[in-house]
Amino acid sequence: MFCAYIYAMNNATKKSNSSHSFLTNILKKMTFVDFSLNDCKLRARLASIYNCNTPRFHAHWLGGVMALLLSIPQTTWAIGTPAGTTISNVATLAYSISGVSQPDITPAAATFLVDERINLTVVGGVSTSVVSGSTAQATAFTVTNNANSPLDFSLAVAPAIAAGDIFNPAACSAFVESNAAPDGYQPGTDIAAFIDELPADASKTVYVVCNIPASQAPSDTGIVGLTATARGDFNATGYVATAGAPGAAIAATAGADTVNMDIVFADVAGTEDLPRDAAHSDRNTYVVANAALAIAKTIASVLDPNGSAVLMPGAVITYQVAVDITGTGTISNIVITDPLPAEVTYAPGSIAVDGVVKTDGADADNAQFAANTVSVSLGNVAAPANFVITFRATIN
Amino acid sequence: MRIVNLLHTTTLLALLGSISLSAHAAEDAIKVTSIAQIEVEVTGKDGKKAIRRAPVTKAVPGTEVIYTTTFENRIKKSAGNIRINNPVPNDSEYVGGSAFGMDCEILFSADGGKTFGPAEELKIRGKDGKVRAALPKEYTHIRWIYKKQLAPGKSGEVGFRATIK
Repeated sequence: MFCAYIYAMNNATKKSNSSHSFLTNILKKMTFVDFSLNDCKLRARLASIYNCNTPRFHAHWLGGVMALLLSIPQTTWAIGTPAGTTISNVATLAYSISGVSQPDITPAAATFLVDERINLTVVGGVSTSVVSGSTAQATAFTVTNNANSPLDFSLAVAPAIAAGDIFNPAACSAFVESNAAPDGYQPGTDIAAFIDELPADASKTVYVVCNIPASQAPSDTGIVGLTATARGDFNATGYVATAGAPGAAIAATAGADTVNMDIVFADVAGTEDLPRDAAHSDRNTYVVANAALAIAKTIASVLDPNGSAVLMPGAVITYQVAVDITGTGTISNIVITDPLPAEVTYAPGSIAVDGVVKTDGADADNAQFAANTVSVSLGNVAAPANFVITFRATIN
Repeated sequence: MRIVNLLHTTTLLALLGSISLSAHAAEDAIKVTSIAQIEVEVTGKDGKKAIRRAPVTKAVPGTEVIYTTTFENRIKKSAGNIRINNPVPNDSEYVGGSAFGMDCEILFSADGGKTFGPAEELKIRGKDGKVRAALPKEYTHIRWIYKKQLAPGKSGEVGFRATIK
């Protein structure tokens, strides 16, 4: 959309004979531009303008276009005008006396500052399947900044929810996802204990990581709450970034309104916090899985060099590993490894999972052969499910 | 090359225009003032609630702001052809039907002040290239045309509401 208009403007420029219709053309076309900041496409089109005009013209033309583009108001503030923005109303009055037109009058602009609206949401409501006695079990929440400025957020975990569950998760911590695209909790990588400089309207995944008490029965539940609290430094005209450190605790502007940028709390109550306290919270539930994993390895067939099925040197054995997951819940990070005995030699390229042939290298597919070991990664599997892995080897 | 020179000329004219405006501000025959207000609910001594207007102080996104421009004739002659031109403030959206002004014809623009028309006739070219009726939030300018002569000592008042985006 954007580039199409730039292109149209370029054509309009060439045809235009007067500055008036030239500017009018720009304004007319700019009015309807969807202003997405797609730098690459923008540059590509501006470059094409460069090529078809004389050099001296370019700097001015580029400057003019850029200024016009930047002055176009963005039509969709999902979350609102940034705090500290000055909104200014300027009226102009024209009049005549005795039929003679007089100079226009522009009174002093009526201006005010947009105030800071602190608002956020924490969304959990997730059930995470765990094994009794396991450690460092992660359950994910999403924290969203609904304020009209960037903010930092401190995180607090409530493991001892009194009602509605069987056990209390232990040794809980909260960690912030370090990647832009969440890739699950990565111990040692996802280590930040607070959310730093979250832009307005942006979200972050936060992992609450707890130990699950031993000796819990299948289907037992343990509820954990996460509270995020907005923090940040402000001066008279807006938010002040404190990269790498959580900003100060925020207080709503007390008493009467002021002409400066005030701070207003607009958050609703969460599961662990009150309305208008610059915090929000929600809960997730750990559920002890009663899923079971059974694995059985069999020799599916033998083909000897003579064409029959005798286990002799040179005979090719087809192994079959059946993985059967039963019950309910999810079993995480399943990796099947099968070291081959010294008496056989693996047949390259022979691994297949559910009939789909896999490569031997450590690559994008989930199977590999290395160090005389066949390994297949099945990842997180929800019960019930089953897999059949086959591969071949020759008797030495 | 022609376009460059014309662009420069336009910029220069715009600059000159703003200088002459400020030079005239001190000695105007008509006193013009602009204010921005919000409505607040106040509880009186009798416990009754009332809506009052107050200066804009708490203004978070979504707040509706009332902008009022008053004009008063301070010379001994009547003033005519009074027109007030008011771009919708930055980061704000005009609230449909909110413009007011006694003895005024009220016109709007949805194309940056290039063309003006009554609200019901205002058109805009949509992103799909089709012309359609302009929505109030797409209005860019408001213009009041005062239909009477403003007699000496008399004043008038026009205004509108806009929501902070």
